[in-house]
Amino acid sequence: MVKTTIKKNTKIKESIPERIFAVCNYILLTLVAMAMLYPVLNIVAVSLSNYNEYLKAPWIILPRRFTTAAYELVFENAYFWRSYLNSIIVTVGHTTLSLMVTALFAWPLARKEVKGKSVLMAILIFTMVFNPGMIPNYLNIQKLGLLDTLWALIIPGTFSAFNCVIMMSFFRELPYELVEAAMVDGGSEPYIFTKLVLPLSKPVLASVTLFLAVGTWNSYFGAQIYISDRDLWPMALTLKEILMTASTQLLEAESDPMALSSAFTEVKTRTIQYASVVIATLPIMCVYPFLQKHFSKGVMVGSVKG
Amino acid sequence: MNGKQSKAIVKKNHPLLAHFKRFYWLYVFLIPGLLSIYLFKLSPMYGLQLAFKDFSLAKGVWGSEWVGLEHFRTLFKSVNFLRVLKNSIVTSVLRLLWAFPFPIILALLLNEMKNEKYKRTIQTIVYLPHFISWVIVITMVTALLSKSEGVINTLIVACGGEKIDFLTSTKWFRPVLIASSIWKEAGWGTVIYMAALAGVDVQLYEAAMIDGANRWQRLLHITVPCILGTVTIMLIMKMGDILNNGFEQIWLLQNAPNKEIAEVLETYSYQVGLREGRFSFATAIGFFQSLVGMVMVFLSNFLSKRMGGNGLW
Repeated sequence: MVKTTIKKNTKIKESIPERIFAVCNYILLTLVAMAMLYPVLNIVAVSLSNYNEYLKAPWIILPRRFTTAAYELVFENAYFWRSYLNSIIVTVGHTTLSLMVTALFAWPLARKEVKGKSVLMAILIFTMVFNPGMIPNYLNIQKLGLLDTLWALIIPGTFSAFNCVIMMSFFRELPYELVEAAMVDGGSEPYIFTKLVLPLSKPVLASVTLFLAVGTWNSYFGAQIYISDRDLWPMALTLKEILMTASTQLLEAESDPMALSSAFTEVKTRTIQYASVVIATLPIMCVYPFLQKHFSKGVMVGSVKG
Repeated sequence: MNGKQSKAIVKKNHPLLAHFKRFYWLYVFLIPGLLSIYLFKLSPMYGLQLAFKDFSLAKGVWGSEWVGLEHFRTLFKSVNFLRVLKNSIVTSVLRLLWAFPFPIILALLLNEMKNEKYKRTIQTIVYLPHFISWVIVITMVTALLSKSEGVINTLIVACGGEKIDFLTSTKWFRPVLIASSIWKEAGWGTVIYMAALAGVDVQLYEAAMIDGANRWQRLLHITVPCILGTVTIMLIMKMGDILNNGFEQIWLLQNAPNKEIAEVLETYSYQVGLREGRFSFATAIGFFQSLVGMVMVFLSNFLSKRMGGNGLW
């Protein structure tokens, strides 16, 4: 569809102001993209550079006096790996669970046969606009016996109203004749949902998966409230400790002090911080390109009318 | 044919029964979601009574004594709370003015790009910051703006200016906050608008071009009206967040010198509630926040529909 417009656009001659606009638009957007990319490149470059080079030129985007010393220090930190594992468990668990619960809820909402949709919509809107608050949530988690367990980060919030609206909007656009044909053929509802609807909904499923995974991977607030046991901390909270508070002390305590002091002349705080940042962001960056292409088709936000 | 016949036969017995017999699976699908809503949205509600009680650990939530609206009265007499409330409102209004339009403009500009490959590359790059956590973004902000080693201050000095105290001054806190929000979320915010733009009927543009409409006229009369619905829905949802600024970003940027301006309801109730153990007081704050958010959503939805626009429902 898009391609045909391009062809037709080029056929019609553009006026000079329009051309000027087009050029300015390209320049402006390139600048915006550069502003977004620069800090990321800077972090990667610094993490691979010698600390003294960083002090001389903190703005580098290519490594200077290349060294992986900072990475080696982070790799030695058993504590870092522990929280890495916790984050993987929490992210996979929460994302899978939430995707299933939300998709199952969104499908009946998109079906015209279902009765009482106005009630369900009211519930949906209510969960969207009303949040009991930090303390009631905390007491609830405590009552359920989830405090200081990874479950406190996995099960709460498995139903997300916003994602549900996105999925519902997508499901509504699916060709309904296919569903009707399957029903006439005697296909059961679970069959229709898993074999017909879900395969057709890859764009929205990919988008929501990424929303969920990124949100879970990056968030530290839940862990800060619900989890005091350091062995159960997810990556985000450990990273916050490394970056914000006792950056070197933590590493010192966890890795061998002797090895640390000898390496200390080469590697300093900032490079260690940035190496941790790179390692912590790597999984997301690996998944991102594969799911990104679905965004434009997957994320429709429509009205939640019943 | 067979299915339709049997449906007709059952229908004679009882329409509702027949309906459930046929579609019960669709209702079964709802159960996990409802369970999740019950466990984590409804069931915490019992804790809300703390806002009207004097919480004591020994007596528990149910056993604590009722004090009526006492906590709310203290709240609105407390100078600290009023300051934090003002901070919350000012911050989110600033966010609405600066950060909300940004993705819309960006999406419209991206939409005007004709080179598909280049456009996709730009999109991939501007989405990227969203995937970086606040912890990392604030670390970068700190590194860029720090007085001793920051690139920005080095540049200012090189240009003959004086070093600016970005991170620990009340004056610069909000600009830094908003700018970092825009950097992180503006590109990502375009996703929803880009999806809406992709849904615009191409024939409209073709017809307009035949009628001699230029780029600007097409933008104003076709593109903008077509995404207005999405903008309205996003705006209504944002209105519900008028008192919410999120915890993570502000907690990381907040420090003793800028606390006066930085503190918002989220960080304040965390401090007061979980750190100082004043559960009832913090519950009252959260309750107030939620009520205001709810009223704002309903109000803006009502107004939007009244003015002939889209509603969230």
